[in-house]
Amino acid sequence: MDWPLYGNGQQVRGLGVGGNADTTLTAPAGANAKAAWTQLTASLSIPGQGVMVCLFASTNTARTYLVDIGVGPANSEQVVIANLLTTLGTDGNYRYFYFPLSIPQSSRIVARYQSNSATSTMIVGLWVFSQGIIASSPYSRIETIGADTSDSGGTQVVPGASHTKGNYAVLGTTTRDIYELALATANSAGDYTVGTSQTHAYDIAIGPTGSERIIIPDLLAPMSTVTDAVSTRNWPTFPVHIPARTQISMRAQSSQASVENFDAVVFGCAI
Amino acid sequence: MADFPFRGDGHSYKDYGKVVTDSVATTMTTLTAPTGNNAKGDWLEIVPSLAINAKALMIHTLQATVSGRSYLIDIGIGTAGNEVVLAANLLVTIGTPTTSKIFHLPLLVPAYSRLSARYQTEDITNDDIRLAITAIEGTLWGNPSFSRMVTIGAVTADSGGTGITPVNGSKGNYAALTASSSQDIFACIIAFCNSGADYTLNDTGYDVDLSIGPASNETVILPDIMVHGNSVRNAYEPPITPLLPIQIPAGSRIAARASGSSTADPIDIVLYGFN
Repeated sequence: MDWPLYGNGQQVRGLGVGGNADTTLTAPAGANAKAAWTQLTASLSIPGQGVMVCLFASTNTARTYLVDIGVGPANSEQVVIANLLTTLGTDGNYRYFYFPLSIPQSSRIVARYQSNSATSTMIVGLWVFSQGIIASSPYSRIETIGADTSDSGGTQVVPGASHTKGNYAVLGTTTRDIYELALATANSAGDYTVGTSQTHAYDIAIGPTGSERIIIPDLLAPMSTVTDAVSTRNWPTFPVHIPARTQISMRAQSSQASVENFDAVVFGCAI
Repeated sequence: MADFPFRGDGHSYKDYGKVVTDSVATTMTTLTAPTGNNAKGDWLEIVPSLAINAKALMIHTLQATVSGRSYLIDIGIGTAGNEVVLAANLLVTIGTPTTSKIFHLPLLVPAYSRLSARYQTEDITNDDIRLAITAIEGTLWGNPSFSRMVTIGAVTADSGGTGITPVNGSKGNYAALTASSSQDIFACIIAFCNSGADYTLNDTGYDVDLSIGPASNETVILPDIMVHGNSVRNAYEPPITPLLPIQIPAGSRIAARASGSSTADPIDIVLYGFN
């Protein structure tokens, strides 16, 4: 067995973090408009086979955010991860994502965001791993499905009341074969007050409208009156195999008669 | 052309422990309360017989009613009265109620297995912790599943983790999660929680380093993990990192340290390694 930590075969680089100066992204000029890119590193010093992203919506309450990660030289940046969704109810909100995404050494890495408010603050940390888990190979694309840039949110899901599933909301259709799926949920844009604490059970389904087939059932997620936000923020990445041109939908049920809507976005890992 | 196992039932998810009749903010099974502080409760069956050959378990936890607790939850496998711990001391902390945590454990669990759960907490007064399990028949990006999970840094004496003391503006001293790890680790997740009985947190950001190596010769293997002490929910975010490709040989000393952006609170930390 090789132990790459001891041979510099496995390395991690934290970008935009450390020294108590985690990177605050450039604020957008207005609501629902992308800001200018903020550089996280001028040149990645290792070859990347995995990326962990931390989003911290820090100081302004009642916002939703869509964050892009990009690569490329100044004024020629290309989005590699689009519209990572996060929200802020009444308090600060950390959200982590891990993507087994390949990023070449020497890449310039940048980030930007939009919000549904003209005033907002977003801090981003990014860690690049030079080696994946055993026998793994990284993906080359992350496909975002369900983001709504017109309100800086996702696709709204309306849960059914009192343990009854609501109607499916169509997040979108895959354009590539998907092998893993990450999930982000947030307050529906403009709704930052949770009237009744409740738990949701999400179903993620594939297939055409009226013929959906559930592939991930009953993911459990509370919404709290204390934080006025979706409490579950650390969804793992789900192993799935979904062909290109497949419709992805989501529905939910609530534990309460008075339901709280939420937004959802999924991120598919593709070769 | 790739295979698409969803179309052939080769990829499936199964739920256990979900309760659909409870309208009080929960859809999970309430675990059996321990009879004393910092003592394990009795096992409670969550999965009578696993319907699939699981390659991962997703453990949902929810604390719905009381605040200011930390918990160590065990997942067990085996028949009633013969349970063996499969995943030990999953660390969950509750600052304010209605807080959910999810552990994604890439563990191979055979079909027909019986799974149970038990827990301990520092304060059993009016206690109420709930749990559900999603079994997943599928692996991430072609990884093998793992057969063992090793818990490093849990402290059963106070139902928490190993305490680290951040310093405002600079990295504090290292605290060792273990002097010598007992097994090889090929991937890990890291959990953070309130330390001791400190359930009133300052609104402070932290950068946590994870290191290996002997005291005074530590090598940082994961730098500046961003952690935030949240003064509204009085808990740390993130509660748990994603599954990370960190490989550590058996026999390693594993330590952590942190800096704070302003007035700092202590942080408990536990590492879960897979092999």
